[in-house]
Amino acid sequence: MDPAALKESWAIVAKHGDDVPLFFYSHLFLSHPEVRSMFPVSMSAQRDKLVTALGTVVSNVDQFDTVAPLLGQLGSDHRRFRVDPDQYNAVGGSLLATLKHFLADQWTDELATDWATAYGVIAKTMVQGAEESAKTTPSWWNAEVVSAERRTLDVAVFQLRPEQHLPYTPGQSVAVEVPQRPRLWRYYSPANAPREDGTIEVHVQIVDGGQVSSAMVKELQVGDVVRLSAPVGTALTLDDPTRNLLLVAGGTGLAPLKAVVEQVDRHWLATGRGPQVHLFHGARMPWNLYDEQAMHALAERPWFSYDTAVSDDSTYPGRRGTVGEVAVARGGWRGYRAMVCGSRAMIEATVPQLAAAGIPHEDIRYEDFGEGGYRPRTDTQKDG
Amino acid sequence: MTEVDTAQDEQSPYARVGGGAAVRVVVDQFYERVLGDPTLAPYFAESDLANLKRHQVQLISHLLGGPVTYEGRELRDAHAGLAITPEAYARVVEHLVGVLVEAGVPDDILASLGGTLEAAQPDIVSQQS
Repeated sequence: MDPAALKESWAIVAKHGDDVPLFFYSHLFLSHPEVRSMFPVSMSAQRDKLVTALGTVVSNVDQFDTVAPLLGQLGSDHRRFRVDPDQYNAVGGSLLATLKHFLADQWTDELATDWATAYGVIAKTMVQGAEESAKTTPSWWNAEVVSAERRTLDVAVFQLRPEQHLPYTPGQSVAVEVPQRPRLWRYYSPANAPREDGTIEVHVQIVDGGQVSSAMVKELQVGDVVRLSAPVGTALTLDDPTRNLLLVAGGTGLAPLKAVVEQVDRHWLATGRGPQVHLFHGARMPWNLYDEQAMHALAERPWFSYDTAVSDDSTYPGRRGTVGEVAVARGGWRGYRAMVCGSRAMIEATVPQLAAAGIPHEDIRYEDFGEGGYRPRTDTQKDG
Repeated sequence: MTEVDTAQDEQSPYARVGGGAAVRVVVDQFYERVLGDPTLAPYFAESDLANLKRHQVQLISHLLGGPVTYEGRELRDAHAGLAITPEAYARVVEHLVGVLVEAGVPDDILASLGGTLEAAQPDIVSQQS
């Protein structure tokens, strides 16, 4: 296999931009029409996802060892889309036809063999990852909505009860599919430490143009059954229970951080020991601070403090400004670990503020919103 | 968005792609590509091209729900003896995807044409090859 040739040929194809996914999906749906129903009704948000990821991964097959575990996890995660091995063949066939189409005269037999071999390796790793996880976990968890509470204009809080035990660590996310928007999955973080009855609290905020978030807030009802994926993410999980914590939340970015606070609380109740935890919750307007009651209840703990920051209401009697500014202004964060969760814009603004205030980069945790990556996201992302 | 989708659902695929005129354009472009492909052109050496195109327009229009009757032969008879290989078939599918993409045909129509094509493939591709 010639890794350089794979990369060069992919670079040529990628120059064709949006025409590449358009050709790829058209070929896929024409040659394997049964696959169409696995994709969302509206393909506009899906367009660039699959083929771009595939082209990048396959053409970087020389770094296979570093991405193999991720590919296995990706294969496992695709079980919730009900992907079977035949469909890996369908996708591979359309990928090769797409490359051939755009490379035209530059498509040689050697290149065809190399791409086919590389795709075969990737597909095998994903299928094996799926088979391995199938031994221990379901493809997805059905969960009943047992409570639906509209908290503000655009935020709702749901309690979901999975039919089977769904193990997760506070700070992780699960992908959610609601019956109102089939085949569109969005990541949300449980806002609670695991409970006896297995229920999970989810905070949903309507994002502009977000067809899933708005359907959830406006239409999801008690009794509806949603699907949940296996939990993912390590950025916001607690790896050292003795470290003091600075938690900075924007909007419903509060959810995973609230789960972490509950986890610390469990530990404190059981042992009488635990770190100092300060949580800052920021919103544009005061009525967007949708979980004040629960936060104030927790704030009775001697190790916990809760502060709010409101950025767009000049009459707000509390601290005004962005949540990052307010957290930094309080000061005294030496030795603290910071966890940040919110919209992409909020994270991009907050992380440099914390760094400038002297918190080392390795002590600032946040979900990575990097372009094109396969990453769990909070509900604050735009979901097309 | 929702309103547009609903409106589309009420039209036949034939109307949505632009009716007979649009189908004729796509069929013309399709045969231009196929005949310009040296690996495929020999299959058409004996064909009456005008007739072939006319039947193809009828067939596609009919499949799209247009008010058109297909007057050509059964696909099995029409392709008998041509010894069409799976490779040649795949090549034709590629050209078809190319012209349909350029014409901006929506995904659901592609998938529905794909369903027909899949069912017809055994009648088109030669079994002995």
